Amino acid sequence: MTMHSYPRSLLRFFLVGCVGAATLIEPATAAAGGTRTFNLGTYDDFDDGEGKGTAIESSGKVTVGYRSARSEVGANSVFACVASGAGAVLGTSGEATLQRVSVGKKGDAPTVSPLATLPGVVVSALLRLKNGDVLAATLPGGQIYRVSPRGKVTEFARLDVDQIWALDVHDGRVVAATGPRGQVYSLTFAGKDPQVIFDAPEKNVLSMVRVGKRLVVGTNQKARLYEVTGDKEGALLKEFKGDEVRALAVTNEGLLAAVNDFKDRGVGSLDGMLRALDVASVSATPPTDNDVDEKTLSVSAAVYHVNLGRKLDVSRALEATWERWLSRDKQYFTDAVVEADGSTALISSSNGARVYRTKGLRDVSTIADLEERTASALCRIRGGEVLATSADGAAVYRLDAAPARQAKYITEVLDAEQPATFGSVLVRGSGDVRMRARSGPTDEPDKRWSAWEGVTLTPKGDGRRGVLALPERRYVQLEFVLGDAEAELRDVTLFYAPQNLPPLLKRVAVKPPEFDLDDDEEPDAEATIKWDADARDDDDLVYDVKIRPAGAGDDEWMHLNEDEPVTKTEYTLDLETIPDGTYEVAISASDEPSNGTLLAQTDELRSQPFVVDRTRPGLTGVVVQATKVHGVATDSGSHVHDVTYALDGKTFRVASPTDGLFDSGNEPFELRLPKLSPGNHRLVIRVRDASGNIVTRAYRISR
Amino acid sequence: MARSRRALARGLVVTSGLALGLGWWFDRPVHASKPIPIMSVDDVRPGMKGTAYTVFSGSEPEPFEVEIIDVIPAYLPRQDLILFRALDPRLEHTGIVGGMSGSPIYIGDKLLGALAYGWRENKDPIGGITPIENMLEIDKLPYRPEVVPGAVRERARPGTAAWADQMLGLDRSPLPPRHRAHERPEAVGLEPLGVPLSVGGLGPAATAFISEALGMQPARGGGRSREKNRDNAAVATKTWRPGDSVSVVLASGDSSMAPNGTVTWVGGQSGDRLLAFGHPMSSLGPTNLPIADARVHVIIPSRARSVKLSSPQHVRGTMIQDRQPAIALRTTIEAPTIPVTTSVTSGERTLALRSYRHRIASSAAVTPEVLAALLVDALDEAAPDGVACTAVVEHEFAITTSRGPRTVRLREETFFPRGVAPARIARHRAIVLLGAMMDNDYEIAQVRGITQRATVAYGSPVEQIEEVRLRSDEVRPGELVDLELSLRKPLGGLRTQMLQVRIPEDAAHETVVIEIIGGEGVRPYRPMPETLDDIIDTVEQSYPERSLVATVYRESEGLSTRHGLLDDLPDSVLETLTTSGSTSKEIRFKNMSRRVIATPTLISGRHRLKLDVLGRRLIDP
Repeated sequence: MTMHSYPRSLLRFFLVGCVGAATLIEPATAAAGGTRTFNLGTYDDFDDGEGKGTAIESSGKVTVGYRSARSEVGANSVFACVASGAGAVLGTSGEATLQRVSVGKKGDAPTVSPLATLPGVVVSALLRLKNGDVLAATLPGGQIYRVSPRGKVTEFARLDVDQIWALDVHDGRVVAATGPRGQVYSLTFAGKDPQVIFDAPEKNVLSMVRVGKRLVVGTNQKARLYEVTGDKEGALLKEFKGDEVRALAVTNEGLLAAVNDFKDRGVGSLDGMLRALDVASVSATPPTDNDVDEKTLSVSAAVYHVNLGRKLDVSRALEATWERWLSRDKQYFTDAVVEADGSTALISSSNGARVYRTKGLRDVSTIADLEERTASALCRIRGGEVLATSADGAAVYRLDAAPARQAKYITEVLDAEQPATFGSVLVRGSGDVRMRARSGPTDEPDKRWSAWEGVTLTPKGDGRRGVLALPERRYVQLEFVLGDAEAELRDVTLFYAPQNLPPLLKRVAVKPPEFDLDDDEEPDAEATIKWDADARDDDDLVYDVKIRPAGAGDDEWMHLNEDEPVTKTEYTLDLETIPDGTYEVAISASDEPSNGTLLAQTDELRSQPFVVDRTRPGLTGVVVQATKVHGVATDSGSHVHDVTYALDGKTFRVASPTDGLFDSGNEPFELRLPKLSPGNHRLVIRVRDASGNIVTRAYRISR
Repeated sequence: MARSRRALARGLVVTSGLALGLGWWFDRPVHASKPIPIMSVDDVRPGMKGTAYTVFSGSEPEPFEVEIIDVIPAYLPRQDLILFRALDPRLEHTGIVGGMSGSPIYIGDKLLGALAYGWRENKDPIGGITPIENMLEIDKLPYRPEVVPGAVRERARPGTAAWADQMLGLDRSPLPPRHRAHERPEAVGLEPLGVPLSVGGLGPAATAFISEALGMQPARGGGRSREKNRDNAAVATKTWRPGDSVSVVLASGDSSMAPNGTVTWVGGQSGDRLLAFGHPMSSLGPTNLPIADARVHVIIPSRARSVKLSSPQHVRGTMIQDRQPAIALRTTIEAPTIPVTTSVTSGERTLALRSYRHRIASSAAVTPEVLAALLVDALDEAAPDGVACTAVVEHEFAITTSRGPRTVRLREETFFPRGVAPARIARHRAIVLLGAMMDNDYEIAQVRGITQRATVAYGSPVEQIEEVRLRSDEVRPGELVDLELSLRKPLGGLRTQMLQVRIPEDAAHETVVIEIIGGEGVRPYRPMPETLDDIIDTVEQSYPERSLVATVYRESEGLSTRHGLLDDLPDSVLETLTTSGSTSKEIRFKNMSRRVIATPTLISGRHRLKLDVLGRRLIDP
């Protein structure tokens, strides 16, 4: 979503019509009458909001998608998922439990029932064996349990590792991707004979997938992809920019990798964390005042795909181009699964528990927006359906359970930055689109917000127009209901006029003409007037500059910019145009360009008095006595700044004031000439006043 | 002697013109089968004369005359207060005496209530009476041994949070500051007489400590003689009477601590139900503390508050309730006690090993303080001077938890720069853990016995970390960095110690923090507890005090859960497992590696270096 100004955008809206939403959201700088707009038109704009039963497509439209059917799971989070029978088995965290998920007829919510409770905190990896048993690895420790379909738990194996991140079958043996030494173990189906078949330099082997008969793993610490070749080193296939290859999946033609890139966490929160850990270790009560939580996570994530050809030649991953199908900031991806068509991938994300569908470079849509904080795992079950699970609030969703009959989409909270009057809304779309809106004073809707108000949309040109009748508040939110399967929302423009804040002038300074002692000429007769102004509400400002003799009455102001308003925060005053004297200038700032003459607000600020002195100083009473020369320098406008002299065209030298300092308009001075050779000599005396005005006199001295 | 006193008392009754009907009181035990008639506050009128009974000396109650001044309605919540003036010449000098709390006051043959309140530094023997009606309500409260450890305290704070604060020195939930007697704001009204804490056999430091810890006025009394101790089986049964002196026995044995007061009312089929004090002892609510009959030696008149000097005699029952209007006692219930052996020796061999045996009351509210007082006493005996010394204290707790019996062993070495500081002893891990074992969110451990052994040595084996300097040119993953520590000795002089710390292999291009600290300043990482045994395990695990702990803290984080620590987690896993919508929140911590180096001294001070680790070396040096 972008915010920009009316009317350029509105004009373009009418002119361009449906040429493309992307052009609509281009920010504009001009503004008129204080009117601004919120525009939603691109995939990213719509992806910031929330949808239920919607599909947000990469072409930048919201359509009626599929309805997800949700069931709660009794745990903190679901961490792992594996297809089993007609349903699936979930592994949870908080308490390491296995939950059986059954799915009924299309559209029904899945049924969740406890299967087993294992020692540990997290079920970190699951694998279903052919006989229906499930292998489950738990944290902490490298323990793998075998759990029968009836929930009977037996110890399968204990590996000499701290974590097991993935389980699979390869070369007729069970393989386990582990940490923190970045190894892949191979075991018999009886859990015996554990052998390290791959040992990465990285800390964790976090993801694992079979590509035909070959085994590919992804690591954490460096986001690398290896083929497990039998010798422990394996073969490096790819190094991505990032920290971890969190998930791998195989498409019909290639390999897909979900890569996360976490920024450094720093060590600033060390003390708070140590304290929290100490307290919790003896009291089980996390301190409520610790300062280590809720930091904004700095992370980005991307999904890459490489075409391996129809034979899925893994070696091509080394040299073929990895295409970035999807990338997102401020979120990380947790799982990837390929749909039954073999070419469409679903990606689960941390941000708002979204599930993305991607099929290629530019083919991305948001197909589910789970209620919990993070979408944690995906698994494709028999029949091609996909289950999604959530963390930080455990639930399992049946994605695409049934085509939604209608969909609801709510925009993110839009910020007008000031209390604003909300006016018309222009909506482009098709089918049955209904709209409601609400406004409020906080960036999170709460009871102080107004109730949802229905907005009647009537056809208007290419789109539909409605008028909002909301309280004047800073924040606004829009809701759209797509009432039939064909309904879609392509573009939304909301007009609003934020409360106009008067501009604020902070400082006015008048810079007199400048000169250096070395200057032989008078400075330009120009003073620079500069000021600092703050519109405070992004309004465009114009300025009026006027001048008067210091202390004169209000009717004696003389406007310096008669023809047109000043748009810069600087004005050059031509000192030739005003007589000598002491003056003050006043700057008046107005936000008229953004608000119109009627609503414009102004501010005025005056400068300190300053002197205009264009009268040259005088030089009188020059007397030459032997090597001494006396004279008097005078100035009426300011004071004598310096007296210099040059003999026979040589460099000017500074004469001394008789009283020791040049500080008045009447300064006797004295200079001593060097011993002169016989003959005539030229003496030039130059007097300069504090404003840089210069008078020069030449004298002939005979010896 | 007793006979002559009784005669004197009887004479007093007669000469002061009291109702003759009271004469039966001294001749016969009082049983609830013949309930004592009581007088309602509504019937009390100013000017009424009455008689109070208390032990002035020895163990026989004696009467003294009082006159009702007025009734203050609703002086305390749902409790009136009756003002009286004592007319007895003995009280003209002493005023109302601490230890008289509970002395029954009769109007005619009706029991009006218990002498319980007085003015601090009052000039006249004017006091307040707690009506017997309020006290009898306490008699109806049941014996609740199951709730005793977590009983209501005046200074109650949430279970484990409070002692966790003490242990960790977090000061998150500090106790309200305790006022010493001379710091208290001047009393402008009646206040409970205060319970004199009769202390026998303890030195001044322990006496001051325990009286301050319990908020009671210390009165140096005595214990029972050793001879009597041995002859416990031959103790004659006691028939309790109103006016008898009674003590709550917090510790008995080689020394004793026993708050003292007076029995107001005796009831029950066999005189086994007693009410005493007329005000709370420590507002503990349901309790399970042993009581004993007491012998009064003398009343010490004081300008501030006169007190009875008394000594507890034989344990004869249990205090089951400690409430606003009274304490309730049962003579038929035996209170649990914990055997404690305290031994102390001096490192200089100037003090031969001495050993003391006690039985202390079992209550979360008082047991830790009582145990600390015994330890303070032992240390004070070994090092009474105000000079620098260290104390090594080893504790052994024989306890039973739901997992079965176990022995908890703790060792702690403490440096006292100016003599033994009782306040620091009270924060010994063992003392705090004892409180935790008796008051926590999981279960109450049964403490079967405690042994504490202290060894005291003069001297200052302490060094302060003055400076830590990085000596290595580069900090690279997998390599050792050289640190130069400047350690300052107590009386001046610097010592330099080199220390090597290995930078983790995977720390390239990361910022790490190297921390150098003494062993007592840092704790091993431990997960959140799920049981009391987990808490005990956590407290048991510590680094030696005489050590330097060098830690490399990392940017990466792990999670502490109730089932263990999850360290070295990949970032996305860490984030996925961190719940924000649940109250049982996991705790995040910085991953670290740690090295512990033994030192000849205790180490104080903490230094940290923040270092940027370079990439891995491409060419080996």
